Amino acid sequence: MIKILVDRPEPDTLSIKKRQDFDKVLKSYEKQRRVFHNPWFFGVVGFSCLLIIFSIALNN
Amino acid sequence: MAINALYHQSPVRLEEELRIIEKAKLNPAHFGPLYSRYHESIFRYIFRRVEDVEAAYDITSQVFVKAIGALPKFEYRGVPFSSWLFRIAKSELYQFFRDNKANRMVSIDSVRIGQVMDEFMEDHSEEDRERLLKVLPLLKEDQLQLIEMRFFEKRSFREIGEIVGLTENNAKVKTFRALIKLKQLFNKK
Repeated sequence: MIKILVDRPEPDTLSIKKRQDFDKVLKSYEKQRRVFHNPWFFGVVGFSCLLIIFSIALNN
Repeated sequence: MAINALYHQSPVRLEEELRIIEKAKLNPAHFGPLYSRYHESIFRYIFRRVEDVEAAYDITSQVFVKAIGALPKFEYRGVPFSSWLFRIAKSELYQFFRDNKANRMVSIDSVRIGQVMDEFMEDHSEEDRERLLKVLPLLKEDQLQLIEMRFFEKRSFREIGEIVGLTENNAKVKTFRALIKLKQLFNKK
């Protein structure tokens, strides 16, 4: 559903600037990167894919 | 408008930005100046489309996390870095709508409604403006996006094209078609 808001007050520049937190962004990036670069992640994903392929092949 | 001021950069500033990008590709910690420069415009873009202000801040952060991750793939081919960021913002926004089944918002200020009405008729009443607000959500999402960016956010066709992945000319034609559609819906109501 689309909602239309007329003359909605926007936060001012100062309050937006106060919410800037580059360290937090950097930490989130590092966290996400660690997950994707972890060999365990790909091991688990790869193993699950193999299991799915095997189960489909067996069912057919 | 801040968004457009950032879009139309001087060659010197553009060069400086490209230098920062190259440094940030090697070390994400150097992304800081780009984050400071674009945080507000990305936040405002998102804020105008989501209801919850805290969600808008969270999506904004996620846009920059994604941008840092995708930065090694960024190549400057005439499309400004800001447009690349807005593309990520657009995709994160739709991800948010899908994941949270949240309402899509359109924030308009009354002056801009008058400007859209000027495209339809010379004299318009308060009733006409109300009618326009009722028919706006009837547009298809891609048409609404174009009207929103062109008339409510005052972006150039070039910038719109770069954000939605169209050529400048195509963006112009499609926006014009969206406006015709809006006019038809307006006259039907």
